[in-house]
Amino acid sequence: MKNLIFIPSYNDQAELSKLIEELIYVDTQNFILVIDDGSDTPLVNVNISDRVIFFRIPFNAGIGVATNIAMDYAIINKFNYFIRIDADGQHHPKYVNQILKNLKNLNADMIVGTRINHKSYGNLRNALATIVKLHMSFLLNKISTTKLNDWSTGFFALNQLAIEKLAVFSYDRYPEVELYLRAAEKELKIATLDIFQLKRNEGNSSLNLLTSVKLLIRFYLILIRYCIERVRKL
Amino acid sequence: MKLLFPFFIFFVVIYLFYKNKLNADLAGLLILGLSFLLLISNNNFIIYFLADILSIQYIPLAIIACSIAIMFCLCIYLAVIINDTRKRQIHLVRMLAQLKLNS
Repeated sequence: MKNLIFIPSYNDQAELSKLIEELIYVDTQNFILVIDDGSDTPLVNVNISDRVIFFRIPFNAGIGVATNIAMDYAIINKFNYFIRIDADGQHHPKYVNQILKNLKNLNADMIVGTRINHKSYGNLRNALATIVKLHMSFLLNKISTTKLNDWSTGFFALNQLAIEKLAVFSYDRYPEVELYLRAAEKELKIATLDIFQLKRNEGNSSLNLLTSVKLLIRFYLILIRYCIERVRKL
Repeated sequence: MKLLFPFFIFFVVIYLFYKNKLNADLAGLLILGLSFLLLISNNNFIIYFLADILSIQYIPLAIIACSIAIMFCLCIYLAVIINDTRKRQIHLVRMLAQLKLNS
């Protein structure tokens, strides 16, 4: 059994080596693939173990492209499980074991880490982000066959079947919604794991007002495409 | 009848996005442009205002509409080309990644 832990990184140097150290010594079956998505300062390759692999995309292509590269790598090297975790330290490494355990015990194809504390009304920006997320979740839960409380979480795990079924699609920036919708479309068994999201220690979220508007428009387009595909299937 | 053109272009954009010929970001931008077109083509005040600042004595609505239509067609054409180029670029990056990671 081999597990591929995929860490996409864009200007997240500070927490990365600590995260890798914590993940690599947890289990000897863990292999870590760090993909630097064209950070302004290229990532320094920390030679902790042979089980840590680095790759740098020469330009900022988006997490979706990095996810595709990681999935291709997992398929070629016959990894049994695929876990994605954020590089900014917002997902505690202890959840990796839990998500793997759930994947095996629940006999699921995909486990989505649902952040129990992702709703925040502290300031205007957070409140707006929360309202947008709630609006997205409401629509997605109405339309999709899958019901999730958190559609924008970046922490998830896949088994071999799910990797193969989801790797055929090309993903773009912020691919989470599309990935979970594709999983629902491919009739994969999806379960959830409640996680507590930690505070970001360094760096800022790449989301601002403009990117949020772009994300919302893209969300509607993906939703329209999903509806068309469902209607065509009927 | 006024709404026919914006709706036609809207369906063209959705179709191209659905067929993977148009990137989501670019399609979003075009839909925003279409909303703007919908707004101005249904608002006399904006049309008169535009005619006024462009010093058009007789408001040739049809000509303006045609110009916008041609511009939009060109924009869509460009967007499809950009999308195609990006897809090739991403394909190359994925190939490069596999070569490097599996060597």
